[in-house]
Amino acid sequence: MENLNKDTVVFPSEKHDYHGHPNYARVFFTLLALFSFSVLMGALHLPTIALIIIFGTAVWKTVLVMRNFMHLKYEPFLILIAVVAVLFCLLAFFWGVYPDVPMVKLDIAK
Amino acid sequence: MENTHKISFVNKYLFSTDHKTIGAQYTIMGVLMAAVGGFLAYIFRYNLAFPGQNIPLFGALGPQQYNSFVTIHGMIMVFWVGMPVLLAGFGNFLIPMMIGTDDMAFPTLNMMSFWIFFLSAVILLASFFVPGGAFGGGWTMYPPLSANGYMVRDPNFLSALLSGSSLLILAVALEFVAMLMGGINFLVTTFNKRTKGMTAFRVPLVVWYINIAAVIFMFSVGPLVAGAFMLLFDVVLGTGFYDPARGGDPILFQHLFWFFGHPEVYVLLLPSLGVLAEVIPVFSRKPLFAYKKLVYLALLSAVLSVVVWAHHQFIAGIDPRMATFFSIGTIIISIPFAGIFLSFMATLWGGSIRFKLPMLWALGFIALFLIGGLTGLFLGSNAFDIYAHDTYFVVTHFHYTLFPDIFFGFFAAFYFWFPKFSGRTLNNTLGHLHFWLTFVFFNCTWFVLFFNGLAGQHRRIHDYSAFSNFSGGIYQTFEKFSTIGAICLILTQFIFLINVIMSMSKKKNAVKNPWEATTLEWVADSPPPHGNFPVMPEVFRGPYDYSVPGEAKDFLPQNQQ
Amino acid sequence: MSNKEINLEISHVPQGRLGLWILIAGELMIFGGLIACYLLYRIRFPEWANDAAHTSTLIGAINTIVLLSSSFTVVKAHEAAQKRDYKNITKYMTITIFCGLLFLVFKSIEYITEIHEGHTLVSSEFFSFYFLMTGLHGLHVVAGMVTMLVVMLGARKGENLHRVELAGMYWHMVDLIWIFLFPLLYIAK
Repeated sequence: MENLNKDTVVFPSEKHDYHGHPNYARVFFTLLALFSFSVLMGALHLPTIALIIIFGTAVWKTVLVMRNFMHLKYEPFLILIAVVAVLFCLLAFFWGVYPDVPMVKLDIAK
Repeated sequence: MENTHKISFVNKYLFSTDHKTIGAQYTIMGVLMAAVGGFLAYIFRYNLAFPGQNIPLFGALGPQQYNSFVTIHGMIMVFWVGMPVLLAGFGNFLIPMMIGTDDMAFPTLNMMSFWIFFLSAVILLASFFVPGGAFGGGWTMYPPLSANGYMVRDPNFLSALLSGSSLLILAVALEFVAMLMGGINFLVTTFNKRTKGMTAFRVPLVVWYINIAAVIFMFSVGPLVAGAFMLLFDVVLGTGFYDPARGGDPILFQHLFWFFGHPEVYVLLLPSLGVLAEVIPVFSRKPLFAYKKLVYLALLSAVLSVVVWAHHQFIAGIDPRMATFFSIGTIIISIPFAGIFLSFMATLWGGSIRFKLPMLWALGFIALFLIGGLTGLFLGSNAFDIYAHDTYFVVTHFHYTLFPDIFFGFFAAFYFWFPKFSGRTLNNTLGHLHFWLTFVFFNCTWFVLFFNGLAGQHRRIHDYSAFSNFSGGIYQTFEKFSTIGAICLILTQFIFLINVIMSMSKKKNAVKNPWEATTLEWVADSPPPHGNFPVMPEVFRGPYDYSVPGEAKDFLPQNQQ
Repeated sequence: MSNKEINLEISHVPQGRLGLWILIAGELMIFGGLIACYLLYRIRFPEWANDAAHTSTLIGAINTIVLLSSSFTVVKAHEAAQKRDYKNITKYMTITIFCGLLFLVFKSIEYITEIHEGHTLVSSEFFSFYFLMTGLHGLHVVAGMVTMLVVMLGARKGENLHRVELAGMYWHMVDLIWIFLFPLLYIAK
């Protein structure tokens, strides 16, 4: 590991002027609001629309956490590519398996 | 970089954090595992040629043992030889040297990665000695054989945990962890630790290719790790993730496996191709043809590699529309690799070729891989694959790709960089003997089996006596011929061993730059000390400046202004 | 070489962060693969809803709030680390570790209740996935807490302050995974 000790510790931000700090409290309360909203939607028992909204808010929350808490919005484009590549691979996997598992009903599979 | 203080033996050779020591540990471990894998191959090849006879050095081979040996041979050769030697070994040796830095970004992580790998190898070998023997359901570990078939007889928790099946899953999972740690190291080192002037397109191609391989590995292994957890739970705790009777689906595991398993092929292939890209320009005295395009082609193949996996499952009952898609994808992905090989040909074209040992192995690689690659095109198309699936044709196809990839690639690199990293030279005559005999006996072993495969001979059968068309006549003769070839192939490797031992017992006599190459590792001493370079070199030019017009020498090292 | 070379050397990402981002990408692939498998089965078997009805939305919701709050405190710790405010680093990281502990306590209560009701790892496919996914996530929570503790003990004395951010990033990843597990297992019935 990097064996930095007390005297030589260099902060990334001091060295590169790396990133600032967004208003964390605001992000946190937005997250809580989104979360309450999705719990409420779950209680409504609207099958399809609720599902879309619930997972939509989950994605929104993910974006908020990644961009602000993990400081993705201050990272270079390179890191964004890595995150997008994860999504691409997972979608490719899901799409490739979809016709073989969900579209085959259980009685046929048995 | 003080290396004057005394380091104890344990710290210097066992728990070293120096990238060269770790690279050597990985390579030696890989070679030892290759010896185990080769011995297993000898046993079951002997049995195939002379069924029922006592095998010299082993004894009689039962059907269950045959299954275990075939399975573990495949596992060892891919995960415990290919991965450590090509990815971890090359990566550790070459990346810091070629980008001009003292060590990896995270040396401790690097050391831990090797010891986790070592543990995984121990667990794998230990699985031979548990009750019931090592896992024998094929190296793809498909359930139900791996989950609740006859391989796992006892539903008791402890004996299920100690079955060959769960030990194999555990070993593979640990191996993935080790390689992921290595991959993180390679990527961070390459991104952040390059020396002054080493821009992205001045990095030697092998470094690019190892990094692209690490990326492919990283982005494809995740689902299989999850799938391995599910499988382990099925084996040990009795869940039913892959049990159709309880609502699971074994097809899912096949998808999880091959979603990783096919990109894995490119993880193994790219580092070897990178080695070729280093060796061929040096011995043709010409710049590598289309360096940047080769980078883009490898990136393209990385993207395509995650959408071709289901061509391994054409007869598993997957959706026919998807089968068509995956057929097309498979044939498309041959384009980047055809491009890479054509570029190697174009590099050779008109060069002043020096037939030194590394060059011979590189050319042998190209010749043999051509056969493997072209038969891959047949198998990629759905219609032919349904006929050839699980026959010797498939087995021969992937041995014609993986054997050149793993062994020819390794030997090309070994003969090329051995003087650099050990400081000693190898015997040229023994080297030539080693190359030519390996080349000939490899073809003896495998080429005839194409015909067995086309005749429909199925793989993974212990004894063909029950099949009248294969138990006598020409196909049995082919099996015998192949087995004799395989035995000679294994014996040939002793020449290599003798050569290495002879050279290690001699004094250090290698010069700094024996091949007159341009990349940075040749600037360092042979062998490079801890810290690699006395002063970090500054880079002024690309890695392939050979025969530059108007220059006195026919090569310009990267650090020359 | 043309002179239009892309210089990736200035990746601008310190090596600890870069390594951690790659680790996070790998971890997201593992959990993503698991979630993909769950979704594929879930779409095939709508009747899993009967089993899903037995999970406790209340405890799941409390746990979500706990994790979100701990994510908030850990970025506050990171902010304090950049100001070299050792007292606040210790304070916020202690709260974070405490939140992790609280999460595990609620999780254990939930596990105990469910097992008492007869929903075990092998009782149904849904609960197999439920225990596997939450269990694996729980292990990550434990790993995050241990990392946090080690980093805090150093940071309290002003050592390795940059690791506060790294431990925080790992913790956010654990939080992110829970953001997806919660609707999958608790809300979508």
